[in-house]
Amino acid sequence: MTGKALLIYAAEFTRRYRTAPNIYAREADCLRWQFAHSLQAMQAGDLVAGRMVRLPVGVRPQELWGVGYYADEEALRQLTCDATLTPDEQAQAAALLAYWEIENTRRQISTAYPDGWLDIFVHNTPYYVPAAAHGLYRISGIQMDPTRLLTLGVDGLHALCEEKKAVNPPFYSGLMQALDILSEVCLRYADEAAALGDTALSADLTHVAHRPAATFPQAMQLSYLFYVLSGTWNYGRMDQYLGAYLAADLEAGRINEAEALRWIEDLWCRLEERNDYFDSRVILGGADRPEGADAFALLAMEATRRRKGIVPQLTLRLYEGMNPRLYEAALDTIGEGTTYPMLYNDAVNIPAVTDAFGVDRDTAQRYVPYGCGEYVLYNQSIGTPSGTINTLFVLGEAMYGKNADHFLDAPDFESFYAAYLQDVEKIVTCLSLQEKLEYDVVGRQCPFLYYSLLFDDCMERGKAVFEGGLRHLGGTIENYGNVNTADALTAVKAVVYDQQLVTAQELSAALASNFAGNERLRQLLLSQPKYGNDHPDADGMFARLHRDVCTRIRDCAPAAGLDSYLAVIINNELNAVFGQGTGASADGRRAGEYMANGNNPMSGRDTCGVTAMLNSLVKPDTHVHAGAVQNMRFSREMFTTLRPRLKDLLRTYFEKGGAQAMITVLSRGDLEAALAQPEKYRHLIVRVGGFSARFVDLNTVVQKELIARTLY
Amino acid sequence: MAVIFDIERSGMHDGPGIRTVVFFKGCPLRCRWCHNPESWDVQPQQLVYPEKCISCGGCAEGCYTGARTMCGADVSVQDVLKPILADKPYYGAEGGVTLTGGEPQLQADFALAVTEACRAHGIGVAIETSMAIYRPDLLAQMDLIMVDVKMWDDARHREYTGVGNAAILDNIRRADTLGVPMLIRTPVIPTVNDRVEEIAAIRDFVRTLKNAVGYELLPYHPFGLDKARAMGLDMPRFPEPTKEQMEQLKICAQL
Repeated sequence: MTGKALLIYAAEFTRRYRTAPNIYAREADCLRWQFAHSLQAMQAGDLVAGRMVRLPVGVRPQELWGVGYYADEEALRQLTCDATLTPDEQAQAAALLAYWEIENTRRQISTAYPDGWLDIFVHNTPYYVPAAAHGLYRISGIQMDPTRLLTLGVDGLHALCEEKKAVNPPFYSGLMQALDILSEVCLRYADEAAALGDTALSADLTHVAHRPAATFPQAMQLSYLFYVLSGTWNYGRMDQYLGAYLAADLEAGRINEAEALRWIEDLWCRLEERNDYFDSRVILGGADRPEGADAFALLAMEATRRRKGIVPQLTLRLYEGMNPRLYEAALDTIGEGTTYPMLYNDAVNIPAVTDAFGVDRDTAQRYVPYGCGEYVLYNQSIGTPSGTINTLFVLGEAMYGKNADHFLDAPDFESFYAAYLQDVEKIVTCLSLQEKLEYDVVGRQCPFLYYSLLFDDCMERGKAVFEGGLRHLGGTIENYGNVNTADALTAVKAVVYDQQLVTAQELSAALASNFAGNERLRQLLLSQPKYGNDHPDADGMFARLHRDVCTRIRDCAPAAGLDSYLAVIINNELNAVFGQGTGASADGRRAGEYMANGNNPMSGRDTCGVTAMLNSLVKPDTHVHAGAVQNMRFSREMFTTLRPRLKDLLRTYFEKGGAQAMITVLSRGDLEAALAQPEKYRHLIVRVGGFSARFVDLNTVVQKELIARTLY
Repeated sequence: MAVIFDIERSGMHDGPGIRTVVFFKGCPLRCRWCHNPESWDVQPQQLVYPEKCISCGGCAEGCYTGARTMCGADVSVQDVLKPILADKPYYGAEGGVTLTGGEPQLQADFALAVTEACRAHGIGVAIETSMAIYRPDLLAQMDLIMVDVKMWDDARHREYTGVGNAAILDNIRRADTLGVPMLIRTPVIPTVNDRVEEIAAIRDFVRTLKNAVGYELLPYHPFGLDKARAMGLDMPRFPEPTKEQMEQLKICAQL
């Protein structure tokens, strides 16, 4: 966009924002204008339409610049001195900037904070800056079921709104406008497809502009366009909602498997172009899927195997009675180094979600991971992580920082541990309130019409998602540093209290000085048992800490007014980045070094073999949180000549309570070679935390952590 | 009790399936290419890795860096059984325990006790042995005997391993009467035994065995050298065989 075009766009967006009669009409008006600029033209050869770019001013549930109504203040600031604009136009830009600096939803949330909150967590701060906790601004992790849209069609949903309109006219009018926009977008792309000579696609788009999807391509097209317009970055249980269409088309001979595969690959291209490698979840598997779902799942894995992209984050829910071909295809696909699909164990996760979310088993069967692996209830709950806690940083504060008296004055380990947990509790309690406040403020600003159209029970209740429409209002908090904290506590208990090899004062001072002149003490700490080796002391401490932290978080929900508030031990790469701002720790880690990722052992400290590591992984309770990253790394050999052994390993891991496995497959020396010759290793994909990446694209601190991880 | 110097969990290359590998200390052979020279002496011993030393001066109170580390400890059957039982669920249909070393037959009574304990838990046991010692009561309990025939010529065998191979071959023939499957293996050490004629001679011997289930060639690797240095021992470094050479010899090794 030129400066002039951006100014015109932002001015009109702002006018619509200011003049609409209510929040529902406002969002529809703003979105219609926004989509006119953000949706991009089809390209020759596209099988699936729907490209969208980010705009510096707009309304989205989750955008780079925040949540709800957002503005890229830097872009607006540049307009104020853009030489191609007249002085009047520059002044107009300055007025827009001043307006949105105050009016953006993110700002609305933070100005509502009571005094004291920002002493507990920081916000708008780079992650490498030392801090115990961050407040985040986004509504992420939306996993919607498009089945109702596909089966009723746009007009069917429109009729439903019309029927219910009297209950809350502005709300249903907003929904109907959102449906009208969807129709208009379909028709716009139908015209573009016709102009490109693709009459079949044009006909499909014209069809779904009003009517229910009748074929596999129509269902894929309509669901995808809906997702793009809605602002979600996750794509639901795709084999469940597309499987029946695929089966019918295959049966009727309207499409063959090779053609279906081409469609799926083209859809994967669109997801790659959207370029959100932290999200882009596509869920396969799980019980209760229609005929055709397996066929779709197999083709989806094949598309991933062929494309070898870092998205979609293909996810397979393993369940009893699953077609064994799916499992073999999954291992084949993972074995080629795609990191996909990630394997989720329904036998463990459904009971875990039942307890953690406090829902019945049928509801828990709706669990789906989104983003980096947080669980939500499909089409029924939102559980965006609105905060992070770095438990290792909190431990540092309690040992040699502002709360050092917790350690120095503690008569025994239990007293110290109890004081530490109180520090954690104070932070997570505050962040739970912040989460609810975010929902409330966002709810007053944004109905998120497309979410409210499909999420149970918004349509029935006549309320938007955050106005009380949503069935289950959840929240989550990202946990970092738990494993290092547990390893540190194991060491502290052993060397300070049980064996009394060092005093609390000596250890505190050594940590404060980053072990300066005291390498022997660091080595003593390093030599203590570490989580990941099936050692009862180290694993026991981790399981204890995990449970204590997770239950303190879980117990915040009622007071915060949330249906659930749960820990997610879902690390992206922030374990490494937060580590840069975290001082030395009693596990022997130096200041600034990376921390362990998710619930995995600290990189390279699992030294007792893969069975010991897997035994450790299954020890932390799965019933007290909403997902934990379990990364593991195997050599290629394990997927080829040693495949039966690999299957024994995974089978046992899942039988013993393994919740999920995110598997990277490498050859020994690959990562080191990629560092030396990045141009030759563009293809090398690694699972970092809850996302995959091309190794050569990662920053140095993350690369370093990945190289240190154990390859089995 | 017996002296064990390592228990490796989830061994992937020490017999069929996933295995827990128990390393017995003590060996009658002194193979110049040995990758576990720390297994030779049956007594626990200290290994010294100067490169890990941080000069903290605390040797007397205990070394935390691994610069000085004890190799081998007296352990009980229960001690050995603990990691085995922790691994057991992973074994699947094929996996189990592998007794290796060193020479497990040197501490055969203990090896037998471990084997019986494993059997009681329904766990299969295999052995890697030099067969320089012959304890049929132990061998008869095995699901699989993995035994090396390192060289064919008795004099050269003595030169490179410290013992001749006549007794070893004889023991293998006797073990062949026990009805336990045997996997014969030869470590391929370039400049020592990497000739086609050598492999062919061993292959012909293997063909005479009723219970031989295979003949495998294992490429030399120099992993033992660091440990030798830590023992204050000077061991020669042999060249590593190339992939092509191994392929060529494997053709010759076909039964």
